[in-house]
Amino acid sequence: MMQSKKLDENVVLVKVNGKDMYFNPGAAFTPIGLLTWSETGVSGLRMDKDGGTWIKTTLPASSESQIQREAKLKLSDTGDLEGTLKVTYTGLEAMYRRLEQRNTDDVARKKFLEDQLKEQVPGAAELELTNKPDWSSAETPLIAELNLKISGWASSAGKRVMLPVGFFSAGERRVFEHANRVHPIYFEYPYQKVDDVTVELPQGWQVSSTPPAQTQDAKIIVYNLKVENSNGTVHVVRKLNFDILLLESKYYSALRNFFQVVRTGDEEQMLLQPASASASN
Amino acid sequence: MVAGILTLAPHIALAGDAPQWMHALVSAPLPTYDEKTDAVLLYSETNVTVVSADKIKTQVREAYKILRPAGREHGTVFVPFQIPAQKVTSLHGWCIPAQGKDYEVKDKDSMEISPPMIQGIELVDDLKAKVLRIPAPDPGSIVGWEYEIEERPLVLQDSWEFQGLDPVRESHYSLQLPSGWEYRAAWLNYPESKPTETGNRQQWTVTDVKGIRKEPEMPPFHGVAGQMIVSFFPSGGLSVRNGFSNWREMGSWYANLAQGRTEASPQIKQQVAALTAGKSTTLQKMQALAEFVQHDIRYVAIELGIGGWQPHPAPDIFSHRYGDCKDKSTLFRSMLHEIGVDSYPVAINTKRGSITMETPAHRGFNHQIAAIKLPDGLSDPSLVAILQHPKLGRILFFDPTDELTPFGQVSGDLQANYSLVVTPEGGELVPLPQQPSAMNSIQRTAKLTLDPTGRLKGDVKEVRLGDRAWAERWQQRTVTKDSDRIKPIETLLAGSLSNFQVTKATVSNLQHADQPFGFEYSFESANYAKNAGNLLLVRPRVLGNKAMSILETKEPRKFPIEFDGPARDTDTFEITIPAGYVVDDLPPAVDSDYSFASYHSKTEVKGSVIRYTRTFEVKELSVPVGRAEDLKKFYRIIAGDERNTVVLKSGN
Repeated sequence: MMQSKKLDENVVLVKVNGKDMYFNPGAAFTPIGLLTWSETGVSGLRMDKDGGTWIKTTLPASSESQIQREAKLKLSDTGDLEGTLKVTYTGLEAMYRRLEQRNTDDVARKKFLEDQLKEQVPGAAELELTNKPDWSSAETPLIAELNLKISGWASSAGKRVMLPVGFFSAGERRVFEHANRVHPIYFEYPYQKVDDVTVELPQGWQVSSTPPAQTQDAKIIVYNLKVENSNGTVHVVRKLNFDILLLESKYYSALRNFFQVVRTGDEEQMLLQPASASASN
Repeated sequence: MVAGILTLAPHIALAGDAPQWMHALVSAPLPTYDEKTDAVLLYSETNVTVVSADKIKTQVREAYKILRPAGREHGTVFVPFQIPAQKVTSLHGWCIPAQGKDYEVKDKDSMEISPPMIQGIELVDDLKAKVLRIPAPDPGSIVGWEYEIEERPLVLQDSWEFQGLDPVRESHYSLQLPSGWEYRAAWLNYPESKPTETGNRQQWTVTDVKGIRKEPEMPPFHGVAGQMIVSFFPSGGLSVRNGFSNWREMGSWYANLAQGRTEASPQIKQQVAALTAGKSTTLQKMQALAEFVQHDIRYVAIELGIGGWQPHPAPDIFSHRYGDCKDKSTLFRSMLHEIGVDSYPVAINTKRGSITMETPAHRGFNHQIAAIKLPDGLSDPSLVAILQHPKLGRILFFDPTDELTPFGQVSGDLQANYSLVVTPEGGELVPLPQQPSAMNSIQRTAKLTLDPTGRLKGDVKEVRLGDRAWAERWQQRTVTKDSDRIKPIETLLAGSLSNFQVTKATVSNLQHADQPFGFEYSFESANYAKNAGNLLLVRPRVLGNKAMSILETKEPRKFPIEFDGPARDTDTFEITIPAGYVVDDLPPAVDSDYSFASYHSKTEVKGSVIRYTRTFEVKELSVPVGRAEDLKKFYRIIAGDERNTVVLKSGN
């Protein structure tokens, strides 16, 4: 039965060069071409003199809402990582953060960013924001630059050292942990996570092995992990694309399996030989 | 010392303008604060006038300067009161914005609400609140208010809680007593300040009081915040009816309230006879009564007026089959009396540290349990929560409200926690015993097999005792579907394994709190061990996380770190490695021993089996702030051990 109260938002349809574009003038910080998450990819009634027709609002591609994390780190011979981190939020990732923090101040926003990123590191991380992100724009990415230290990131196994490669993987650690699901799974909007991390090893350390490249392509969700080693520097690139909005519960098992693969990839470790061990071997 | 700006004279500002006492604050210097401070309390004044033992008037003035957006919450004034004993007779609020004209709101602009459950447990109470919203509470604004409350006091005592989350520039408290009355003031968590005397009014002042910034696992707020407890007495001495100034007197006050409430009705006597029929020992009889009160008397809190402290008569509790903690304690004590066992009511605060030996006598308790005077010769290994009291002899503490902790023990939050034991001679503050750490434990053993692809599978058995068992039973108490009973196991596995399938799981002793709680389950995890050329990398610590990151912060720790209770957990994981592989590298053993906690782990190889064992023990329940760095180091050592790897090498 038609229930008008279920149409609880108004957006504007504009023909731009013959193309339908949706706008919500009331949604602050929303980039042109995007709508806030609750209005994204949903049905609506286009009002016209004939009464109206049903339309579906734009579902943007995951590439339009990204979290890019670029870290340049050094590994100490005690296993600590230290360096810089640049995080770029685009599209709806930037929008929701700006919206959430619109009534706070710089001190609260700094803590907000630092705490959010700390939660993404599966270890004892210290973060310090060093730049002044642009919180007022709708069109430019929200960029945070930070100093990062992760204590005890590398672990030992006798004469070897293990370096985990899932630097920002905590967000995927505890999702879909139960085997059974009753309700459909709703993602707020399509998005991507792109991590690009370089780690400079201590002088004289050698890489014994790197994990194999991982690719898990479920079409609507894609995971890639690639680890390279070059002249004492390790380069890790991790990508996670979510081109999905709503998934029926009958596909839950496949979704859970996908995330298990992601976590397994994130748990991969590089095998390192410290300088003294390298010399003696 | 900063003098009070104005006394509570009628404000003479123009209608709509903030009063002069607030305008005087506009140019006042601010107290010390940092960039994270949301607001500062510029001025606070509480004037208490005791008219008689039945009437007290309290006038309050407060003004905050808002510094940050989060300080806007001070624009909402919340004045709690209890009907019919208290009445808010006036309420005004003002805002002096950084720019523009003042705002004023009055009593008629407020609304009266019944606050949602204060402790989350009351079914019915008589607490109300007046809520007044002050316009424009923005950074740079000064918001202030005045209100007056008249009350018929339940107790002749007041507390001045002058230290809160925000820094305080100056705070004043005054007390005016009828002629001939006396008072006693006691300070807590703050250096004592002597009062100045004007006529028969005493006034205390504190200035530049630091705000308390909350930290995880810190002691309860009232255990660290500065406050003054003031008790007052009519001429001629203490009124037993509603006054006390020490724990002994408070015990007498409570005993007076509870007098006669444990007297058993014929129905109670009949029930006791039925429950104890066939029980040959006093212990068996006590256990039967304890189980009845724990399980057959439903927890329902109806707290009206003095009913927040006074229990209902035992016959009413019994006939209704419901009551709150003090009701359950009262009925239990009534039933004990019928089998010839003496007992005492015990008031306690479930947040250890709220009450300490230094705390002045006041109503800082939120729970009631019972202390049982154990008959001579009664001894049993199940009776652990025993205190040897110099006058009362052996007393056993028991919480009739806690239906998941077996008779003979108390939960971790009550252990080593100060309580008020009420005897016919009055009250005495005594600590509950701290139980052995092994009585609160998870003993986890696993026999697992690894294949060359890295798949790990096998069986796990867990035995949980004490609060560790309590938590599982509490979580499962509303679960009705068997398929949901394994969710805690899935959650546990998800904390340690990137992927897993539970292939079998059972729960044991779910309903039998006097028995250890058990989990037995089987699982498999693909790619648990990682291949690296001809190597296989295996983490021997398969399950469970003991490391914590609460101290991984930039700010130095300011308060002690509190543990929930003593604990001792053990893990033993045996992993059979694939044929053709040998152990090439083992992580080192870890031995970290502090007075507050210890952690020992070891990885050994016996034939084709890797055997990982570890023990984690909490020995002291509070780590002083001076040892926070030790605790941080302790947790980092554990985190390192939990990530360590065994390297297997293929002989092929």
